[in-house]
Amino acid sequence: MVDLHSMLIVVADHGIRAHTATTIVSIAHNDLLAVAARYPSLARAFWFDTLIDAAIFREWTVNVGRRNSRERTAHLLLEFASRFRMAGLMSDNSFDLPVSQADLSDALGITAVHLNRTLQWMRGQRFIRTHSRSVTIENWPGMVALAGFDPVYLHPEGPRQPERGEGG
Amino acid sequence: MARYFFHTADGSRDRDEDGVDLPDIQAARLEAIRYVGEMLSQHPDLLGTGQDFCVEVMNEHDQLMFKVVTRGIDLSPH
Repeated sequence: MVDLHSMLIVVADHGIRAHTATTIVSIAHNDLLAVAARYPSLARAFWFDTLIDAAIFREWTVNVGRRNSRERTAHLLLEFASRFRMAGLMSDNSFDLPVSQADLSDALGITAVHLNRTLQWMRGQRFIRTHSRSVTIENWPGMVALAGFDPVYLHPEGPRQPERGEGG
Repeated sequence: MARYFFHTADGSRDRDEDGVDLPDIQAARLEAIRYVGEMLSQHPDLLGTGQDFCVEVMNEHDQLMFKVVTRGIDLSPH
């Protein structure tokens, strides 16, 4: 759920931009608060969702602050791939990435030239293939080793369940 | 927008086959300088071997428009 944060945070401190045609369903903050109060399992799901966001933000901080351009680009591509895979949206290790190199380099905190050279290098090493706006991870173990990628922070195992289940 | 190509050289030449679209040569100059800064920050050993590290900005007609040259000079007594 996008921007679940604003359920409890009154003043928005960020904006959200879609890169593709997007169907948006908005749910009133008050309705979310009401449903969370009534169904504890939904409240836990909302909480868990924002914890995943926090885990991704932590990884992002390390990525931009500490990893070099090859490592951080590989890390972001593997994060996208892993999240697409978890959502069942990846086939043959390929996923759509409808983002310009200018936006991607901005997100990675490097120049467009550096990103472009990095992607050329990854293609040359047969780590990835790119076709217009899609990316194929050709050498998953190689990319994982390059990025130091450990998908545990995406927590595919889901949230902890209460041991005695009156919750929801 | 125009396409500029950023070739690098650190002993061996590495041609930029894709290029990057930028508004004008001034933007391409600044991009080249920032790129050199990122490379030196992430790979300081580029200048540790007595080699220069250079980035050449070429326009769409393969004309050299701008060049950044960085060099580390070892001045320690032998």
